[in-house]
Amino acid sequence: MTTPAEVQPRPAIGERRVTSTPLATAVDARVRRDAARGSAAGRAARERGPVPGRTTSRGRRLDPAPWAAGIATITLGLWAVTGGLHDLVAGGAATYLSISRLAGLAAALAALFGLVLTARPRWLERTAGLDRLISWHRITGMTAAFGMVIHVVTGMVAAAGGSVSGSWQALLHLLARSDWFVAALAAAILFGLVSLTSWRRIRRSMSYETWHLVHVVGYLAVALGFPHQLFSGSTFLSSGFAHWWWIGLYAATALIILESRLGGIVRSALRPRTTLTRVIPETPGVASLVITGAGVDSLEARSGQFVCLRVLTPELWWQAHPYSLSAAPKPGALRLTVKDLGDGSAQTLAVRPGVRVLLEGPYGGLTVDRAAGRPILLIGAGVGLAPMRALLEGASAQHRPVVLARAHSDADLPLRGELEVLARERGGRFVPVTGPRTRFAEGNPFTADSLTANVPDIRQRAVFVCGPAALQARVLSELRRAGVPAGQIHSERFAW
Amino acid sequence: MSTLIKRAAPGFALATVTLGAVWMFDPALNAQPEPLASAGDASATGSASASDTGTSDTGTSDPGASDSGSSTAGQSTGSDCSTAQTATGDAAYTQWGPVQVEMAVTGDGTICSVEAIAYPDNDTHSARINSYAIPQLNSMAASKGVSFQAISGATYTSEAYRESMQSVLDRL
Repeated sequence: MTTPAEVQPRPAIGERRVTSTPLATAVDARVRRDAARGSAAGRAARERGPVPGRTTSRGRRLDPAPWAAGIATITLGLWAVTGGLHDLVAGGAATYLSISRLAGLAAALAALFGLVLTARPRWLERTAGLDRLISWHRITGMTAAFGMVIHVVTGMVAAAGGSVSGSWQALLHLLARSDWFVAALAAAILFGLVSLTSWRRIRRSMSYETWHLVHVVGYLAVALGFPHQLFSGSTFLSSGFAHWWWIGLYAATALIILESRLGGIVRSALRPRTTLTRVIPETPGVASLVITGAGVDSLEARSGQFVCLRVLTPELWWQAHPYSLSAAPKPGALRLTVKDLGDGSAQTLAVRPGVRVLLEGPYGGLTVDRAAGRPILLIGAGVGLAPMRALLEGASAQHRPVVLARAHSDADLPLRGELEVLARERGGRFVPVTGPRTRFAEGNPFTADSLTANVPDIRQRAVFVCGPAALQARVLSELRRAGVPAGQIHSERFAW
Repeated sequence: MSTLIKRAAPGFALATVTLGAVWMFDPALNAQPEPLASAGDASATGSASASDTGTSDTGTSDPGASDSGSSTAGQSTGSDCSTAQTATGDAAYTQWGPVQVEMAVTGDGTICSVEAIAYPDNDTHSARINSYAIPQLNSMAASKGVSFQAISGATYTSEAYRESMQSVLDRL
């Protein structure tokens, strides 16, 4: 049906004078032809939007706002309906109890939302983008932590009949009275641990592995807290609806986590065959992988997203690595660009073409429709230019794209020729930012001043950033300093 | 911000309707327990018919309440309640507040009467539960001692009640 050749013809690295536009025109022509024929591949390709101006996916999009609002309203409303509002102004122990119940409900709900966010279900990631999911996860985590502290403290005072001095004894009584309270205390301690280690100051002094290990305990904390809510909480003892509502919320959360953790693997295995057909060296340590097969179409990946690649060889089948699409997907073929970061990537790059691969995903929300009609600025560093290259292909002349491409030297700029051509075609600019770091003011290639000098209308633009974590963090803060509103900045980390 | 509210509006609307339905129709929430005629009078309420008030979430019916057994101290016979001493138990805490009993008990441990002198009743949940649970507990405790069966829907309160009683017996 398709040959990888259609993905491949493109200028060699460093080639400056390219006049033809093999990639975009070939693809567009094919899409139009397919569309005219009404083929499924053409429809799929059109919906993915490689044609300029057709960048919005009509895929399964789900706005999380009404869901989150509805679920939160019902949950907190149950507090009011079961006497929370009445008790709040009743004074004495009832007021403490009422505050404790509200804080506990809010904390538990925030924790559930946090779990859903961190499970990164595809429908949510597609709408909001990974960076937003991470920042929302942070907000829900903090809400849950503060809510839990308020819940425990006011709960202890309520149990002591409104007396602060008796609250410790009350706590001991509750622990003795029911194992659910013991589990809840364990949950509180574990959750406190998760929250403390995520506090930026402490987080910085920990290795990622240690932090992650502690953070995963959050699942256990949420599970341990559940029984004391259901069996000992006024809300769920008072209302049969609340009882089943709560069970339903936890079950739905568990299903979403399972679906998104295991669903990707299952779906990738069920997809039609996909094969790694070519490995093309780009710059030192960076290469592109071309994957072909009917399964590529059912992936419905879009420019700027990434996939998890599982190479089915005896040595590599058990590991999946996240790689960015570096070109808009074509019917039956897609291209990933990979840096040999020392993990499984080196082995992947050494793999003999023709081997079967599984694709999980697509993940990530760095897609051009996030620009919401604004002109765009793409900032990429090193292999972080791969998603920028794909994004650029999905952009149109209305986006007036500007690409800032950072690498230590010209030879280290992957996909340079393609970026230049695509930018020019769309009436945009390609600005290489190369040279050792010491060459730049403050050792920073992207200061607020230099950004504004390069891109005078930067505040009006939607900015997409992808690169190594340290550089990315610096770019994000400089963008804010340059006056770009946070809502216009879209970034994605490699590491996850 | 206003667009966010607009997007969330259907969620709010549906949630409000749901809450309204729960408020009006949830059977557990709307159950009105029948108050006992002579709350606190242990000897007279032995046959209280507190069969099923609908407030129970666990669903088991309460065998203790329907038992119309002996109307006075059940454990040992022959002790003279006229010599009984009145003692106050320790406070036993539930998540809704402390439960504390006052007992009339003879020297050999015969329980003549029990009455809760403190129990949570100013929050909505406790007010509903304890309006029927406490009189039942008073009556059951007087007739059966600490071995009474916990009232369904008021398990925590029953346990705390028993604990407070036990603290008096332990002091004998």
